[in-house]
Amino acid sequence: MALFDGKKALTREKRCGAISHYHGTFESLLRDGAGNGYEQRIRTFSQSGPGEIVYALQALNGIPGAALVIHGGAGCAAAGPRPGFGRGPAWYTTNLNESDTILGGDKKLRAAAVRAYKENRAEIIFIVGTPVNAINNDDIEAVILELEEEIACPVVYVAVNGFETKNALSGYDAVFHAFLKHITQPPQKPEKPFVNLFSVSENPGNVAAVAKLLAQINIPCNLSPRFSGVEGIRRASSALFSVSLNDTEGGYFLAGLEEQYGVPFVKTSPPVGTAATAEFLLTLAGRFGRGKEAEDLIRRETRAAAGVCGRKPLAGKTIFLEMDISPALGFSALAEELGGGLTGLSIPYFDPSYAAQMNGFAQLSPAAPLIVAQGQQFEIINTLAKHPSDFFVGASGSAAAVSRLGIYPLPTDNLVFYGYRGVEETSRQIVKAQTKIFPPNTACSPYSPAWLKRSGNWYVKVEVK
Amino acid sequence: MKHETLKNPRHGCDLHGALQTVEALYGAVPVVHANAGCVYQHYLAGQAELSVCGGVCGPEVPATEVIEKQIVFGGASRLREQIKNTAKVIDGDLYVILGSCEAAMVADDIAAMTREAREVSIPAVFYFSAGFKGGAHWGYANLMKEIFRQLGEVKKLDLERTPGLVNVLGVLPKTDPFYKGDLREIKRLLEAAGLCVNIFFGPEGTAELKRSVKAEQTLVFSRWGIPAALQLEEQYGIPFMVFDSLPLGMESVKSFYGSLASRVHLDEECLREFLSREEQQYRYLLDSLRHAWYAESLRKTALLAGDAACLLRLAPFLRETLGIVINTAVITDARAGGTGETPPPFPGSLADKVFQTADSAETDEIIAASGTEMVLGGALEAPAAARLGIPHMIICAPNSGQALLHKTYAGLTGIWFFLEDYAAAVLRNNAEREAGDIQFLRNLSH
Repeated sequence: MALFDGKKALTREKRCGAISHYHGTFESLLRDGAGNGYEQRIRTFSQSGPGEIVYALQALNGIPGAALVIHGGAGCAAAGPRPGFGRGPAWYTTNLNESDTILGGDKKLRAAAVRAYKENRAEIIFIVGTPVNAINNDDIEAVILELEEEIACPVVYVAVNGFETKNALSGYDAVFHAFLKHITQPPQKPEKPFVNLFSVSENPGNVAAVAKLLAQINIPCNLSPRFSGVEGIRRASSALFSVSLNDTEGGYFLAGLEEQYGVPFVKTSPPVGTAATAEFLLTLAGRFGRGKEAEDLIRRETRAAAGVCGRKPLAGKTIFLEMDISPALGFSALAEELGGGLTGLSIPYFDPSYAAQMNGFAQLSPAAPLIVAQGQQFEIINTLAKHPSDFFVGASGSAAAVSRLGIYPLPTDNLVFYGYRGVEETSRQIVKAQTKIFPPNTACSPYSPAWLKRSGNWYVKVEVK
Repeated sequence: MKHETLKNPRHGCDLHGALQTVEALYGAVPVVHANAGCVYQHYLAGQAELSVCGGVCGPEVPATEVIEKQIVFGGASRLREQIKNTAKVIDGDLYVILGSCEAAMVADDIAAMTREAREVSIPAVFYFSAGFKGGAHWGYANLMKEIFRQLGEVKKLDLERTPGLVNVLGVLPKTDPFYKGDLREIKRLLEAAGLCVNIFFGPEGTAELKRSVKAEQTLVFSRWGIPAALQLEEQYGIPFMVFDSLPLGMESVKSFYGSLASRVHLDEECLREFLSREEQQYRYLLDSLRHAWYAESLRKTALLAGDAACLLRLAPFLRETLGIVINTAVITDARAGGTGETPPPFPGSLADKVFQTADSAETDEIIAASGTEMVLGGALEAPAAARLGIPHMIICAPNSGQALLHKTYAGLTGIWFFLEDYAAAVLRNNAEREAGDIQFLRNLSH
């Protein structure tokens, strides 16, 4: 069955056999999945993760021309656009109260959608589900049908409910499923051939680092979905081919484009580190007949990067890395270029299709700690208490937690590590991070000494069906 | 309010209000019974407002992250194991169990799970928060009430009255982005009168919670503190006084002391000396601003948008000390209470025109039609002010673009912080307008 024939996207667990809970070693992860795939696990103690609704909102948030209606309580839209945070579409909440949970929230949904359309002249309205309307069984599709006469733009339901999947990436898939069904249009011959450069969660600095390189060799990009708007999603079917800055995130949409419209999905390693960046540029340039320009660019940039790498800012230093698996492979190579090495890894997601790629982590010993988790700082802290590294590189929430341990934290939220620019900037941030850990003298970790001595996988159990 | 739905909600829900209160209470550990994402949305909102802080906060908040089978078959056993395991992983003086929309809809028995935890000596209290029950202010109000109601069941409390000890309620952590500075200032003012103060949301945290029952009086600085104050009165016989808001300005502070003295014994001599020093400083610093006030045309007609307590604090100071006309006020927390709660009377004297809404589209329309010269509100009002080319200053949530550790717009210290920021906002705007006019004139000349 075609990927997007169904009414909604399958969860990652069902589609890919993905796991989001695991704690072991590099070797045990590969061993446990050999044969029949991975058993689903759960955590009997957990800390807060984003979940599919937050991921769906993040995927939709950066799209100019769209308006969002979150069908739930006011808190389900709490992370909405504020000056300085994700300038994107306006967010509306149906602001469901107690009586709405009993009598249904259809009337408010209708009102919010009409507001979203009239107040924004929106090109498209996305309705995002929440647990309240899922448990209530509100018929969102029926409301959308009724709105067809009143609202002159597509109104699209993103089918997430907050509890169907343990894997937050399913939220991205739900959004991209909606794109494929309701927005993407049959291909037309474009004025100039272009490539879909798909980016979901990379910070704008990382996207710009790559886009500028492509601009230098005259490769036109459709920066979808966050920067080229609704029109960019529509015309994605007309691209020469597609690449993603992170296949784990963007793969569903690009595979769907290939399946339905024949747009080749060219799988590349994320352009992190000089070798992967060069390979990325050559792959794209080759398809545009710009191989020579790419080689000249690579020669220039590699010469400049060699100076930075030659200084070896990470000489003899070790890193515990928290990152999605695709960019983590690139960062591992970058760390090696800068003189350092990985001693442990936490990835938010894993599925059997990535088993072969794990060989790319050549630095990791078989016994290196490996966590599959969204956050779960308590396990990271437990691991680092037993196997300290010099640096922690990962999300700022985890970096802040780790800073209590006296390990240099390097948060990735705003870090540019893609492309050649990423080599220089990462090197600079590494040098800066070693000045002093902030705040000083805060030995105020909330974690109990008993937990720090326990085995890190104590609370990870096989799920009983 | 024109709409039941909300554009760009400025505060979170009942759960978020309760959660941010627990986060700010050092020594307390929240345990949230919800699906993945409920706590994380609060974390992302906090990141945008630079308010992620506290003992156990952000993504480290323990949460059950319930999945489908716990919706279908109930999640009580998941909560049971989460509470027990939280106590093993994270050290805390008090564990506060919070509910969510889905926990309420599937009727998980949070109270029973909390009682079970107490049976194995985990000092746990609960508040059955749920996003659809109300806004963040409601979460604070009920959470504090429940903590006081249950505290004696999990902690041995010394009930002997301490003369001169007062509790402070009604300053909402994080919902009031200036809460750290506000609490520090009110504590300073009260200590100057010889009192000892429990502010709860400072370095002493749960230690002050335990001392709360020894206080001789509770001082409440917004309506959101009344439920907890009522609980302290009912359960421990501690009377309370309600003020519209924290005082701001010399006259307001003196009036505050006057009201306080009618119910609490103050050290009059210390207070006299304190006020004498402060008044000297007050006259000196206000005089420093005299020339700039006129040279830079700092007096503007103002529109205020924010919580009622914030506007009730600022409005008299702006009018009576600075001579500023407030032509419009937008109260953003009138309906932040729970279903069925009757909003308080409309403070109609706040401004020439007073509106009640938390909706950003409505607020934008009000600003556009107001004819005001300056907007004092939250970060969501900045675009509307920019479209009119007028100054904007943040006085309430949501915050943006500044880390708030110490700053206050309350008390006496608040006068200086306010005037510095007010002047900076006006001067910035003056410079932008002048640059715009000069550019226009240069273009005309070519």
